[in-house]
Amino acid sequence: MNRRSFLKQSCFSCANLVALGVLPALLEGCIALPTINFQQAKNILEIDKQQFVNPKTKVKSNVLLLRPTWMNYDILLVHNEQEKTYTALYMKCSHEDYRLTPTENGIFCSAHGSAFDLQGNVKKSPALQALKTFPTQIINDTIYVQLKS
Amino acid sequence: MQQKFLFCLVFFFLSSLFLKAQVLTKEDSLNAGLIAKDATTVLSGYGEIKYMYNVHAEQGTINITRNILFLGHKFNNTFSLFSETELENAKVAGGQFGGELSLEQLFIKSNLTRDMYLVTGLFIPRIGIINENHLPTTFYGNDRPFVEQLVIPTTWRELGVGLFGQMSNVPGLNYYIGLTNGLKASNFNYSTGIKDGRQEGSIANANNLALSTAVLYYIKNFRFQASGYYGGTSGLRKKTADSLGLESGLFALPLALVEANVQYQNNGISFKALACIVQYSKAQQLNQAYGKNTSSQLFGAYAEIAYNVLQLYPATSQALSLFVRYEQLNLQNQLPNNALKDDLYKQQYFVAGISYQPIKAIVFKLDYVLRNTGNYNPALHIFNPYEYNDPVFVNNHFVNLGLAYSF
Repeated sequence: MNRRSFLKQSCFSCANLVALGVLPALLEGCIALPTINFQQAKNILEIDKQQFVNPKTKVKSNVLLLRPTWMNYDILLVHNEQEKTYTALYMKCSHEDYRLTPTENGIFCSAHGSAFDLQGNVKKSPALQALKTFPTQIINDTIYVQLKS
Repeated sequence: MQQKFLFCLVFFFLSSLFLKAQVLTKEDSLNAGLIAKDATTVLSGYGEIKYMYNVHAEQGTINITRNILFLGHKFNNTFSLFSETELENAKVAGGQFGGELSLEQLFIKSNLTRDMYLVTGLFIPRIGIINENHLPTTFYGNDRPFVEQLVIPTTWRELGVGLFGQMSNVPGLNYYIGLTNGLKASNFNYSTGIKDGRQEGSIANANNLALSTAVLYYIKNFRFQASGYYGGTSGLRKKTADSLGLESGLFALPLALVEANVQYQNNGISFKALACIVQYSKAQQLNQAYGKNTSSQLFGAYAEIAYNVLQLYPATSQALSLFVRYEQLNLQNQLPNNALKDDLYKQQYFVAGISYQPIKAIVFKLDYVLRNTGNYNPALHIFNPYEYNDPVFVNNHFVNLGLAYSF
């Protein structure tokens, strides 16, 4: 088999593999995170627990993206089901202030490769410090995120 | 006497107050709440020192590989300045073989939307892993992977604009597209791939352009990336190009690069693999015009696995990682008819080592490198004295010891 046909066949096989198996698995994650936009500036954000449910898929997520328009970065509200707590993480990389990429499994900086877990701890450098967090409080079915102390 | 003493004391006290006022930096002022919080200035950096022992040559070398100073300034919520100044090999001495002082990055970042920003100036395109993520505390071994030095010439920066963003409706999906000046083919050297064609923002020839793009996707514990580059390398005005029998134009003598990589990290285990191919179809024309030995295709790939032993002790924030890496590259994967083959640049590397991080910002590294090359072409190299030159040894071994930091 010459090099050209080897390359052609290899590429064809890879494409088939991707199409049949890998791609659907990868695209499972391609569902937007549930998100709430906050237009009016306020010191405390109120979130209903039901808002963790994705309105399109009706699937409950462990994370909820909060977008206060008056703030520079998003806040990722993480539900720790075992400890029954909520953590509000500021999506600003502690390395060079880039906006972070939140997912249901972790938080990533596409600029320099830093990675954080869903508690905001550094999983991978170059970031050295954990992410900034905001205090949260749960009263009945409402979660309160305190932006300013 | 007592009066004199009191006078001295008061003078000393006032002087110290004055001196303190003199050294109050903008950052101090910011921390003290004296200036508006919108504008902030950040100083950080990184560096690495390496001792290398070349086993065959019986030669040890110790060097401050690089020290970089990062200076950033946030003007307001939209605009920020990023700059990195690099000093390689500790000093720059006129007329002597030695170091290099250069700007590694200098750009203005403009936040367009919450999910999208634009960089304008000297920036690093998203190509490969190490190019963007080159802090020595983030990769294993004293040397950056050789594929990402010789095939993808890190740190590869050019002048232009780059658009970076993430798709909010597909969590984890990031994209990049950039337009920069192209490479300068007249500087290509077959022994260094395309590295010497980089212009790095220094009186760069801007007669040609390059487009680069990347897609980056995070899912579970994986990070997938694919990137591409297509750019002109001629850089000549029409008259000069005609006289040399070369093409002219924005994308004349095009060079294409395609790269894909994957990374995995979980429970102390990390894995990464990368493959890259560079296609330069007009190498024959270039060789004819400049009497060079440029190849028409370069190829490189590597895979690395590492394990942080201290992962077994969750209480510690220290890391002690063992790693192995295998690399294969060929700077002459394909040759035009008018180029000479030199298997010296068909190389394999086996690298194994250990990294100890007492804190995340500091790493001590020890590694062993086995380099295997093909036989060199005697028509292209003359060695004197013969027995001490590296390329003579098809198999060579190196032991490296190093220290790196970032803050």
